[in-house]
Amino acid sequence: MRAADDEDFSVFVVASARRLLRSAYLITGDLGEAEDLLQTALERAYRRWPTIRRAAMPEAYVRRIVVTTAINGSRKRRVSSTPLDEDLLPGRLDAAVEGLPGRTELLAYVRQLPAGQRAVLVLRYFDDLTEAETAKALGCSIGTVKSQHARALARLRELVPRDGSKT
Amino acid sequence: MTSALDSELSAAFESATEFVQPPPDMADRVRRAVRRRRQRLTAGLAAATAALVIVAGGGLLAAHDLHGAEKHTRPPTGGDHGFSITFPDGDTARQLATSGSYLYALIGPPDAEGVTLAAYDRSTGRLIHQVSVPGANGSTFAVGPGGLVWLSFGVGTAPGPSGTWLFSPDLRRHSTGPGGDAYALLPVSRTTALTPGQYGLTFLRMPLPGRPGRGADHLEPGTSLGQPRNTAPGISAVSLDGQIVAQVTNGYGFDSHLVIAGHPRTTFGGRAVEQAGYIASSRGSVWVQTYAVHGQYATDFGRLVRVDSNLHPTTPEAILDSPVLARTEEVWAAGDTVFAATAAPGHALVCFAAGGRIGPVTSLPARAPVTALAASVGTVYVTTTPQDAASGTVTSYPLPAACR
Repeated sequence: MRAADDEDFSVFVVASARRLLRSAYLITGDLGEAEDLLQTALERAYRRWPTIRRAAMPEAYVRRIVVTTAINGSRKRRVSSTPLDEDLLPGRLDAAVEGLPGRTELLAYVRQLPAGQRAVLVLRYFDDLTEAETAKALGCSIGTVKSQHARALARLRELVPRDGSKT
Repeated sequence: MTSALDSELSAAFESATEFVQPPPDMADRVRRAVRRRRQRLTAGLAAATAALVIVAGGGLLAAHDLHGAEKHTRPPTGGDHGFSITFPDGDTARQLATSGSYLYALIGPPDAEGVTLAAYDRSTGRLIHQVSVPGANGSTFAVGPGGLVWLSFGVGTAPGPSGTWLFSPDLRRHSTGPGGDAYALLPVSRTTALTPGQYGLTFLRMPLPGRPGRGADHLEPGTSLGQPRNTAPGISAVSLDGQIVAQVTNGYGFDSHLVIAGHPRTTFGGRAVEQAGYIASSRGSVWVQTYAVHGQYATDFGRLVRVDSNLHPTTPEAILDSPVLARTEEVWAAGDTVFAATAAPGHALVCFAAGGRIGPVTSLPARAPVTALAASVGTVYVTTTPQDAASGTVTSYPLPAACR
């Protein structure tokens, strides 16, 4: 890789890593796992950096790897692993929002959603992606994004107490 | 309610991640990981080619059934030069080895998950058997005496299963043992192998494939590779005149040098202008791909150097003078033949005879970049993974007469 490309990669990481890491953390709920995901995605991007850079799509490229890997990882764990008691694990999502009980509760409900639906919510409400951009990040159709989004909100409406105490 | 939920979700996501910060050296971590992973791809290849000398001529093994045939790869295609195996999108052969009638490939995406060890008929490219590798965040394999296949999986510090498997040549039976932190495997006998690590060489003893029991390992005394706090686990290693030559780094990939196990003061490379990259052994010598470091950047190629069993440079002038080999990216050896992937335009893969007389340097018709290679008597198997291709391809070529 040429030095100019290498420097450009550093600039990209400085500019994008935090946002990508926050998205990964919201989807996985585990900061260590999110960091691993991001590093893996960046390694793949680094190997093809001259091509990705020319195509002017590095963040979308890395985001897609992070999101799809997180979803696939979640599916594998669902089959093969025993659920952990999140309260006992440092660095887990709930611990990060101590002092904000309403939002903690809402995030806990989000964590109960399937990984694909959770990813749609994160991409739409945290990354501010359009439906088309979300579909691209997930490698699915806009129709799938719409249906996943609707199902996720419907499920949340079921889960959130109706007395309005969540806020 | 939905609009309130929308805004509450945005606020909750924002506040829940305010504290999240990536490591300040994330870009450097990525560079180091990529470099080390590239180096790991060939770990064990040298061992495999060394083992090749032992097993070559052993004749064809028994016929095997075709369970799983063409499940993972597209059917091989013939051509003027032999056959090609194309992998599914995103996959490539990260490591190759040959033994007896088999061509072995460690297949997966270039980085981590979903690795498979597959055995092909090396004359036709037909898939014979394959096994999924667990915890495949880095794996390496080597073919040892008797054609038995050693696999270390779960390499690195990532969570997940790890260990060592010893397979029958057809990959249908295996035994299990400890390990998983080996970047290089050097089979010693049918059931024993050495692996270089931070504190020296680990001696691994395994049951024969299909036999009960579990393998065991211990640190072999007197095999230090240098000060542990300055030495990353061996990334690659070769056997040479009864000694083990290991490539080690300071953990950042920027002080990469060779050392003889048990003689940590005997070293080669590590200076900024001459880091030791990929290595391969042939005829009592080690061929070393070197590279340079400029500030925080490392070059991808450098000149090819030969060192003797004392790690003294003995590079023939014909090699030092070659403008193609001055841009060597990776090196392999099989018998008396040395192969080099280069960054020289039009010379993605070259070979030369390194037995008695050296050279000439001969180009093979492979497309860059060449990422894995194995050779048997008369045939070379090459993995190429062009950037514009969706997946990697293994192609067989006849070995040029000038390289034998």
